Amino acid sequence: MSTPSTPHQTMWTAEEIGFLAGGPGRAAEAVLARLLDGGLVRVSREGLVTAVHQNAYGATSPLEAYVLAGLHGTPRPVQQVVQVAMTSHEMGALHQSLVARGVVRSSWGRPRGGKTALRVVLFLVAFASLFVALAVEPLVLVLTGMVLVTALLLRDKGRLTANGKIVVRYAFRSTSSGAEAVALFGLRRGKQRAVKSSGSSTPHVGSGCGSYDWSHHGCGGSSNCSSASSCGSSSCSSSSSSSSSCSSSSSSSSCGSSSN
Amino acid sequence: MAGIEDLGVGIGWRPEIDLTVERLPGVDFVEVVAENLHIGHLPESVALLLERGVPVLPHAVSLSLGGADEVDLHRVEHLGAVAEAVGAPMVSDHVCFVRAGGLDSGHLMPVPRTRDALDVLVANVKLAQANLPVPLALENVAALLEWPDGELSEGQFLAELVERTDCWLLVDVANLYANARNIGTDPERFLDEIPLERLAYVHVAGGEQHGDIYHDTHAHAVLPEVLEVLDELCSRVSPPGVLLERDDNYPSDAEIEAELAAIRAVVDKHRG
Repeated sequence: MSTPSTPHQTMWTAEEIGFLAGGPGRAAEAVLARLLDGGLVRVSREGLVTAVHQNAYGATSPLEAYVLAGLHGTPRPVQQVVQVAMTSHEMGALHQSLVARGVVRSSWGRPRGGKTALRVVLFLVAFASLFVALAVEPLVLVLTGMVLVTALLLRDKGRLTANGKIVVRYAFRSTSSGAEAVALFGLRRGKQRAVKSSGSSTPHVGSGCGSYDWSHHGCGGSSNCSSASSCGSSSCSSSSSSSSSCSSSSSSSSCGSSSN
Repeated sequence: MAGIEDLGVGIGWRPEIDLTVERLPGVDFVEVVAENLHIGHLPESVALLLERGVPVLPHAVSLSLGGADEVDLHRVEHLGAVAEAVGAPMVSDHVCFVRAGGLDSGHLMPVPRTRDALDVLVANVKLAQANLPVPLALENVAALLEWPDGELSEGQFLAELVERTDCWLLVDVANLYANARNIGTDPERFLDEIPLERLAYVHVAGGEQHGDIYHDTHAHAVLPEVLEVLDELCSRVSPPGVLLERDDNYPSDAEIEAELAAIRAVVDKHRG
């Protein structure tokens, strides 16, 4: 199925890589792509997703089971499937498992409230002190520098920890399935990379996934997937495994991949 | 068979399985539910199939030709417009009624097999035919009940309908099987009585037994017994076309392909 991946020789599934690379929306897209890869759902040209089997047959994770259960007897637009999966408890559990494995922070997102205001004030102070330094007293430049450094230190940290960034970096080098491509690039760009050579017709599906602030369980600030994406049919029928794999220990060793 | 070309083996096109239908090998023709299509805005998939030269046949479910209400000519005109939009050689609906007294049943209700009901049906069919640009085929329905005081068997009823209207027949072998299971009709007698030379094509579909009732669900696998009815039909006539209907719980592409292959095997067996 897969080989270990850094850090700590861990296996990373497409949905995990999706979460790391693009947040919950991307993870949901990766789940959908994996289910398509496995022939467990089908997507129509208009972007309607239907389950191929009943009773969540074939699911390999709670999130996949959740998505399949939501499709039981009811076709749903891709966008809706992604949105619902994004805010599910199963997505929360995936987030927590990634936090526990030290690759994702427990919260992230755009700066909010007083922190943002403080940074704005600090930048204004830095600008003013720079003006004073240039016009009156060059030594004030020291103050300018200190204020700028403080403002930069107050910036919000990203979703990923250092280990998380390593995993994503390796995943980018070792994409081996359509689902992994979607995990890394989103449905639109992942599909283009995964089926470049297939020549099949492409359905138009909406796949809205905004950025996400987990602490607020809503769309927020960090994911970068597109608002209208598409998933090709043949991209969804060629491979069944979706675990990223690479072998290394920490920062700079080589990375391979396998899937079947 | 004048007017009806050799269609081969086909499948009902549905939006949920549009890509599947496009990819399946050996789909010679497709059928679309006319009420679900909008003139001037054909689904991309249907347009693609037309470009490939795959015949697309409109199939209606709402003309209610067996009803006592006046035929809704808007529905007939829409059916005709769809036929022209897809270049169809024929259209079809059912020998049934779906509306009465301003209510819509949501089901294809069987028509009482009386001479009075036949007169009404014939009049409605003639009116529809006069407003359609292509020939009309009519399909036998699955029934869970038989109206009392029937004067004709289903085969006799359809035979007389054909004789009086010159319509074509769309024989659903799954419905024949369902009726045999549920109300004890005899598919062989039906096939004996209908004018097989007026056969346009054949429907095949799956169903499921619920207690004492067999439901023609179009959402389950085609039973071997249904294929046996098809086999019986093919032993009498080479049908211009045979079409698999699947309307829900769409299985994998492989399963659909296998069902089409099973149908084709039955057809080919008799074609030698």
